[in-house]
Amino acid sequence: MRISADRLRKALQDSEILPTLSLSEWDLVIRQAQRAGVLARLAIQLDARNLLDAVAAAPRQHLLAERALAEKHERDVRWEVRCIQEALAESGVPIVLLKGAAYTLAGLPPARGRLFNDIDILVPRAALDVVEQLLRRSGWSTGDIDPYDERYYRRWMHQIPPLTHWGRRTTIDVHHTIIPETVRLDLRVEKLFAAATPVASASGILTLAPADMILHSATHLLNEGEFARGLRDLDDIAQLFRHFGRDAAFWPHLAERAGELDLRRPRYYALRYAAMLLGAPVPAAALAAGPDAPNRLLRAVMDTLFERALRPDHRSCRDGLSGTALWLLYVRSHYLRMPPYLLIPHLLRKAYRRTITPDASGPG
Amino acid sequence: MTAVAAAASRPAPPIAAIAAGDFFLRSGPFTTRVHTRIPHLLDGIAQLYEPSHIVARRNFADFHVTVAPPRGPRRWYRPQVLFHLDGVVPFKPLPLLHAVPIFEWGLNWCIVNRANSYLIIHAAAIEKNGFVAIMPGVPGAGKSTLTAGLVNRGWRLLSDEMALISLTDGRVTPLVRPISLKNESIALIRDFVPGAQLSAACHDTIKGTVAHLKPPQESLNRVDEPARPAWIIFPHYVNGLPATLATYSKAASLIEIARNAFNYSVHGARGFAVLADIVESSRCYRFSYGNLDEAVEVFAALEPPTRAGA
Amino acid sequence: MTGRWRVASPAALSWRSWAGEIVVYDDGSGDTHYLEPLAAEVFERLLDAPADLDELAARVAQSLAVDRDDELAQAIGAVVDKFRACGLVARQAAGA
Repeated sequence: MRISADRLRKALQDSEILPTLSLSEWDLVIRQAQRAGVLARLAIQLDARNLLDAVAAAPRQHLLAERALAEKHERDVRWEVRCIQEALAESGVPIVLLKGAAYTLAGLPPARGRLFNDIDILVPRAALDVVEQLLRRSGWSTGDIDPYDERYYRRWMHQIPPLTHWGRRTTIDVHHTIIPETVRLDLRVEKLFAAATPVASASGILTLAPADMILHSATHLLNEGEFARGLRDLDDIAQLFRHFGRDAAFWPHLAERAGELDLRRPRYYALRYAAMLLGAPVPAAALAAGPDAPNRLLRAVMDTLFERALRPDHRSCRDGLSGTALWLLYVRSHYLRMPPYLLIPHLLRKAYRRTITPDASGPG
Repeated sequence: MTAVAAAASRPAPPIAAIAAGDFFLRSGPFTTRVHTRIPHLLDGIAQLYEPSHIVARRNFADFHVTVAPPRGPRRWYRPQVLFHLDGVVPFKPLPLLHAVPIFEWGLNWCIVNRANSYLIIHAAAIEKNGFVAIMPGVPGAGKSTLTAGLVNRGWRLLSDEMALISLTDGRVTPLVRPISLKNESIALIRDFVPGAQLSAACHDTIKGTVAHLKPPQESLNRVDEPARPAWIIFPHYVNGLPATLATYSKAASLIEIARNAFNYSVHGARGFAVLADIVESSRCYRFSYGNLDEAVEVFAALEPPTRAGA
Repeated sequence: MTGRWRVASPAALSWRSWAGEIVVYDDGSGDTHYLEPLAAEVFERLLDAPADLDELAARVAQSLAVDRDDELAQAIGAVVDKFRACGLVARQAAGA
């Protein structure tokens, strides 16, 4: 099944191969890209190189559709950040944008062709209550939420439960650290704030420093067990490597920072898989199996698991081991986050919830 | 919950491609790959769609759809059916007997969610002499019944449910899918259109009793001919009301047609400009009616806007 | 409602006008607004130049050839308040 995902991975590295695809090749690539959340970025990349017209008419409609969606999402994100800015201005609290919104406001490559869901922000822990109050005052609320989920969010994750705005129906996730409390890794959040960069066009709004941005992305992708958008998240990291890695000093700085923040292992995997699967230009020295790397056996196991988890979430890319790989990585993510005596009940509860009817809406 | 077999329409001659349970169906600009083995769905598709639009092989499909019973006990006990779009399940399961409606609603869902290269209005679109009447409609406005009547009295069907507007030139692209009819409309149209090809009625659906009408042959034949909007008409059915056509302000028409667009917010300033241009160069009306024959007469008398503007 | 008012982000707006009514699209918020004749008039006068409520009333009364009375002033105040709530207008910073 490796062959199946290859064409899409190559296209993400160089969109120039796309106009040469046959209709039946496009048929599969579009579906895989759709599921992986990367169809819009293919569209934008082709557009930037004036190659959209070189694509056959039928697949081109899908690319045009995704481009329109991506443009809408960018408008939405900019407006939403403005609304958040206004709501929180009086608190004087530094607001660090995370993930997609950060890429967009900072004008970074992964912003292009992105479809958003929630906005994630990082604020100092001491400011959490004030921030929650101000957001609620401006129209955000938790709505109906299962009490177990609410406890889970507040205690074991690192955020207030997601808040949804009544009028715009947009959701904001407020974090006070980028790794859960119970995790064994010890993260120094103050360092993140100290290194954060202000956004020129929006006062009071910051983004993480480049190395921190990559480390956060890597930790989120490789430690949190959610892979529905895995290929996209890996491509974000690959694009950031291409962008920031032009400066040779960046790579040792990244390694040093990973040491400071105790995120060595996620850094290692991010480098390894961005290079292996998406051809990111990672220098050999950075890739070398140093003290940050797992031992050979563990590395081989992780390769098998992550290569599957980072394929598009489409049936053409699944093989007999895919389900197991995802399950093992999911368990691992909780293992990293929760003590065992809490982990088992949590997993059992999640498994029970999954067997209840899926939450699909009615037709018409 | 039983569906009563409809009187009358002879089943269409079997199409080889359909029998295999894996075929490609063309509707307007879209090609759908369909996987299904449900007999009454296969019959329904053979009856409602143009045979030349159903083929065994295509290199590219816009949508990959499966209609099949769910896994587990509901496969046999009070059997159900699910609609899948390439791994996505947008609806809860429906009774197996409602396979044709779930297929039609599922295809609507595919188009509305994915076809964002068009501006899609929740509206009927019909054409005569090169001019299109767009009829936006909330449910209950009677637009499907009106559409079914008009396209059997001289108008060409472009769509009964979703008007596809090109963002480059503002023209309407034909979709020409089966027209969905509800409750009393079914009998009404059967009387109005001798020889109407209607699918078996499905009772107790979420929309009441539902049946689908095959579009007229000429509409199917001309599926590749887009046309320019000339009228925007907001229909409103009230039993017994005489047919009345009243001019509607352009500003109000623009707001209301935007409200009726599924993906207006996706297209931003471009969508606004396209719709504003269409409103500018169309005659805009509100239309109330209680009788289909009267409605046909009113529509027959519609004047297209002059070149200088409406 | 004191202070001078201005159209918030004219560059983000597109609009069309027919028979005294206006429909405005705001690319910032993504919202589309219908302006009835008085609101349409207030909008156009503010597009001409920023103004406080008094000036606005004077311009509108002149443009529509109506009496400048309390009722008009109140109606204009309500319109400007609605515009502010949906982001179409903002207070002009002092000294601008």
